Amino acid sequence: MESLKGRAAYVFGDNYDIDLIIGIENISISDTDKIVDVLMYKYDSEFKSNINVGDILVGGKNFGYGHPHPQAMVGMRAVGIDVIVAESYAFPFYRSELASGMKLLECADISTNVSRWDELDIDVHQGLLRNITQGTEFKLKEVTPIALDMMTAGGVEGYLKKR
Amino acid sequence: MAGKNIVYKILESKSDSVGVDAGLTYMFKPDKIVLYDWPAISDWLAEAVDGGSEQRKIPDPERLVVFLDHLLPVTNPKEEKFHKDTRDWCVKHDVDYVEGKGIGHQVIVEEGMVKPGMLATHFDTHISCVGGIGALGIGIMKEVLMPTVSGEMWFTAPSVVRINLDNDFRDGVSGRDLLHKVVSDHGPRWGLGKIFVFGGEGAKNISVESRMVICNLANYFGAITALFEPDERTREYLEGLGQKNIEFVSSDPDAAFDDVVHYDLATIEPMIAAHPDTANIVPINELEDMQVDVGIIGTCASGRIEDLKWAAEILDGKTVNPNFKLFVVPTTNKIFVEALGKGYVEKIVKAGGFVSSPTCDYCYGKGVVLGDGQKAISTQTLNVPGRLGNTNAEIYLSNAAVVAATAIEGKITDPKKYL
Repeated sequence: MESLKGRAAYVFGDNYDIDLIIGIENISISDTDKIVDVLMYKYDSEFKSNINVGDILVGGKNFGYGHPHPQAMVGMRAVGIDVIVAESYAFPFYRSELASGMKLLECADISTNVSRWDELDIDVHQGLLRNITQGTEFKLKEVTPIALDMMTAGGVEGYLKKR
Repeated sequence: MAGKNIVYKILESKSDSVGVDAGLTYMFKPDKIVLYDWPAISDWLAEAVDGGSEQRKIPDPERLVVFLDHLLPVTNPKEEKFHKDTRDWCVKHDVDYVEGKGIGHQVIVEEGMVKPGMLATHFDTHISCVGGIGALGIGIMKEVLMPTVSGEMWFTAPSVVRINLDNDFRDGVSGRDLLHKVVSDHGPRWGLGKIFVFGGEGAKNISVESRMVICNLANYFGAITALFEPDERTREYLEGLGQKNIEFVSSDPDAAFDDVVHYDLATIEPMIAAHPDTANIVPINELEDMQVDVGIIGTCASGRIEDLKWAAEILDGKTVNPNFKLFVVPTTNKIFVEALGKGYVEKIVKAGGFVSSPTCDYCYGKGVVLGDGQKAISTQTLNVPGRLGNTNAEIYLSNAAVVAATAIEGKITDPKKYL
């Protein structure tokens, strides 16, 4: 996997329920354009236009807590975000979004060491995250080989095809 | 060398590997792959199986079951089309679908589709419910595509924590309160990377229905899943469902666990998961007298026969407060019919309760919607704002007896005075 470079598109706190990214009232939408219309509407009404392809979400501990539905990350991928760095993940969220093609990385204390729009540079193979804006460097938690395969394959569909 | 715990015994029986060691990743063959139809999940999975250049076949269709328990009753043609597509896909792949019997997480146990010692997977995390009968339920969301088309799922063998229970609940307290107490004591991240096994003398005093509720909601404290050691009570429950030749997998008496904690059930009070999330746990006395507008007893986290019995006993001869609306939804048709036969439904209806056929829709704001500024007390799974159709409303989660007592008074009420 090549180096992952992008800005911190948003920094979420601990135990974050990702359904809030689109609002609970929108968890049954299946049309991607409609999902994008409500993406982050409570946090940043200009989110879509503020985002560059390759930007990165930063989360705290237990990111994805609750009963995460797929819609929020369908929306994120549609605007060009497919990398998350969080301190830890709720189990179902991790498995679901790994399968969906998100690159999910873990890094201790990252949510308090990144500010929104900081430039980040992640080397998955070396296990390093550099915060270019702040001039700091952090170690990533080692990724399970099957999870790495799934990230490289773009999710479970690509993984199954390769197998 | 210490004996094996129930989790590792089940995992080893589902793997071709010789032994399963903590921290290592293996492929496991789930006995049952359970799904329900929901936008952006089941339609995605159907497309992933059928679409593209590869026409995938489902290797073991008899291991799959699909529930049509959401979007029920259907309220527009688009929803009916969605269900029709699900039915057609199931027929095409020779997969069973179940419609109109109730909420899947309970029906799979009632119908013996998941038995003690089995490994069940689902995209829904509340499949952990089957832990109530000593089965391992692991929700993996969209990754369920992998076992669907390959028969296998990957899983990193986890830490296992034992929760030993002593004594019995006082009146008006149930498994739901124990679950809330665990979240309150240990927080929403305690269970990350762990599976929890409930046992001990006190466990014998907890009904299988209540065990299912506890396991259902284990993700409140971050757990991958949870299960109870099966016992005679499990056997009686399954025999009552007409099941025969019941076999258990249990921890060895000297089984090793990564941690052991104790709970004295007698010391637990009704605990409420207060607005706005399931980690915001408060004892009921801190909320008593708070005005509430709507109550719900139902969903996969309640609505079973003991919950309906409680509601009937509390509401017997009483009247639901004129400023309050009570909705009661039995979890399955089987439970509904039993509650009718025992007179529970009559008592609830005579008191002014609105009783609906089984559906998942009361859990996410489709069955009932709150008005601006309203508050609900509910047995549903989640209270994140909007889960009852309005982000400008508050949801408080409790056991069924608290909902019934609150229905009479129109304010949050400890049910002990009615029991």
